[in-house]
Amino acid sequence: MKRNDVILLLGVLSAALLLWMFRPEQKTEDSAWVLVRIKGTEYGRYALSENRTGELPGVLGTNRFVIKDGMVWMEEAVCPDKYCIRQGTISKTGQQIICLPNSIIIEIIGGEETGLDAVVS
Amino acid sequence: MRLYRSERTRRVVLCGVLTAVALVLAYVESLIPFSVGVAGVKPGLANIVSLCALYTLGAGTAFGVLIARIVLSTLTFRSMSALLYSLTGGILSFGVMWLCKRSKKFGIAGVGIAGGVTHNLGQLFVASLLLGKALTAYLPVLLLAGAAAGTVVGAAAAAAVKHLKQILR
Repeated sequence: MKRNDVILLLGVLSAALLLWMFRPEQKTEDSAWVLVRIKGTEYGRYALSENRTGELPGVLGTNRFVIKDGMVWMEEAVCPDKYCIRQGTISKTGQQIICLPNSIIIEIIGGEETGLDAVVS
Repeated sequence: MRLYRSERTRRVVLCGVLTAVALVLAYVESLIPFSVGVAGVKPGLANIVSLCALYTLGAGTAFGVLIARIVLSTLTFRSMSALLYSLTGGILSFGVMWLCKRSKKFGIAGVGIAGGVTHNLGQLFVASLLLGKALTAYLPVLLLAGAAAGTVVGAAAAAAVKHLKQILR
């Protein structure tokens, strides 16, 4: 490896580390919401504190998600990869479950939208 | 390898061989399950071939091999909708690798790292567009994965290019 290669590698790694350290808002307020988007548009908004199961009609078919005791996970998915199920349980503001083939995003948002979310959307 | 006297014939043969190798690498990669939980985290073995082509055949020909590989492997092993992700990531990373090589500031390893990282950035960009939302939460993971994959791919390509250059002499 040349010297510049090492510098590039370290640069990318430190960028990843910085982005990780300064990732948006981590703490979860009691008033947090579970926001579900299908094909980029808002499909539903549910209180994180309220247990429920919901059906999500995506592009390929219907997925099922569960909110229980402040945790959210994808219970059933029709996509072949099932990445959204493997992404596991989310419980903190800013965390997401994403199902690309089905175009579904489940996201926990604070009582108010965090700064970064407001900028991009 | 004095059999192939004409420079042109040798280049055409090498193009075909490289495309075939890239397809095999893409196939091997599709066999390995990566349960990191993040779509897009994979080693990108086929990029070894892009790097080899870039260093032995020049940018234009290497680009042709890249497009042939992406179209063939995506249609064979993945779905039509994956073509958009693969093409964007592939073309973007190829452009950046070409620029990095032209700048003569980096070795093959550095060019590979730049390619791996930009490939992931390109795919994340397409995913963000398609989902209508910036997927910033994935950025650190994909940067890390791109850099790691790029290092390995770059090292493998460096070893291969050394021998390919002798064949082309």
